[in-house]
Amino acid sequence: MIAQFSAKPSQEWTIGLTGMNARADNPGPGFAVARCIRHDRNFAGRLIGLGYDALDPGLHAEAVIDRGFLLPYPSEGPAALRERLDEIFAQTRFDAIIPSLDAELPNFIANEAWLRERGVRALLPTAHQLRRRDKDRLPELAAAAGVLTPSCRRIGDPSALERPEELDLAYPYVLKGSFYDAAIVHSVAEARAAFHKLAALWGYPILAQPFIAGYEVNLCGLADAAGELVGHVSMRKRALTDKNKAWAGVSIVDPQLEDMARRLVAELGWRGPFEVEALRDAEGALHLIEINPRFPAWAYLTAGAEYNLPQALLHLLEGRACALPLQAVAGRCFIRFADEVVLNLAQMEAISLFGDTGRNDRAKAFLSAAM
Amino acid sequence: MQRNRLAGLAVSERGFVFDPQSGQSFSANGVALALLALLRAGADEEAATSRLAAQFDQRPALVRPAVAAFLRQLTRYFP
Repeated sequence: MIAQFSAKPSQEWTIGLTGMNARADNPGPGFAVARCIRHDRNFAGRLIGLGYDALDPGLHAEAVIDRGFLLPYPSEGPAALRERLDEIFAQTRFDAIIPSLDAELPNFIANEAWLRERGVRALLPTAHQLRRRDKDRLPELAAAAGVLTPSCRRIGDPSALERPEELDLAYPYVLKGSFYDAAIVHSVAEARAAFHKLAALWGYPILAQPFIAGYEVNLCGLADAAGELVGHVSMRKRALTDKNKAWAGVSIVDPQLEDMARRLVAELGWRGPFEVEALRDAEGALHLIEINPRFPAWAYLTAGAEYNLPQALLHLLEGRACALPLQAVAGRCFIRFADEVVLNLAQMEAISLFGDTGRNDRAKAFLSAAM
Repeated sequence: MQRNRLAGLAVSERGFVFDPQSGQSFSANGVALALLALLRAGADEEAATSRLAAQFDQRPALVRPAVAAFLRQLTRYFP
């Protein structure tokens, strides 16, 4: 099947967005990306939430998301994703997809040509680019890009934790899961507990790094299909969740962080959205901690800082020049809060049995009639 | 202390100070605001001391240690 890309402007597109989960301590980025797109008052298209759990709240947030569908878990592979997307495309045509979760990206990358054949645009990194920014390969990448990063040890056997000095580690040090989560450990007992918890959640290997005291700065960026950095917004966290995720943050202008992002994008030839997480030590040196291959959960700050990167992504996908200002506005502060979505039985049934919320406006009408 | 960082600060008339590079914010009282304005305008420690003393009608000897302490504080925030 060869479908053509729609000639409609991106403001009229139907766009699929993943990352609809929104646990307060570690929310998915998709809902923030959706809010950025809605931030453009001229956007008259439709936003389709693609979730992995019937209780992903973004799927049901009718003020932002027009309809929600469930996808198979990423562990089921690219063929299962294709099969499900085929079912969804039979219900509604998509013009673009913006994946927002690390674990699903390999499946979307494997299906990029398949999506293109169906007229669905996406700006994704290559599998090679994705692999090069894996946590355990960061030292290699950082050396090639000329930026600092802590050393990294892969640990598969927890007995290695009994003798941290043999790993060139001193307490405290950091243990990290291969996809998410990290723990600062101060003793063998803490290290053992953190190791088993991280392995149960995210699998092996567990990564060990020296602890660097300092404060974290993050950059949300966007690179075009040619691997050129198109724009970026930097943020310093002001309040943290238990998982050290930002609960509040403020936009900043950090030339050192921007230089780091520019070097990394150039070295990788990165395509699409990304986030650079870095730590500034007491001497002011910046250490690369992580590169996330997608928009971050705080992406809505880009719209707040008058530098709407998800909107710029749509312009790139459309083949238009990005009309971004010279720089994001510094000093725009975001604060998160938890909210509730109320579903009636019909809505719970629709998402649980059919993996489809149906049109949210119809569900909304049903809800108001029932109450 | 990085003097150029002082020039980049956002300073409100009521004493809210925001550093766009680090994301830190501070509150400054009237004297601190006056001193910050002098330093941002390029005054060195001695010039800032004498002008601040004149502005608040105080002896420079009384003002000097306070200016030195303020500069030490700024050095901590803008090393």
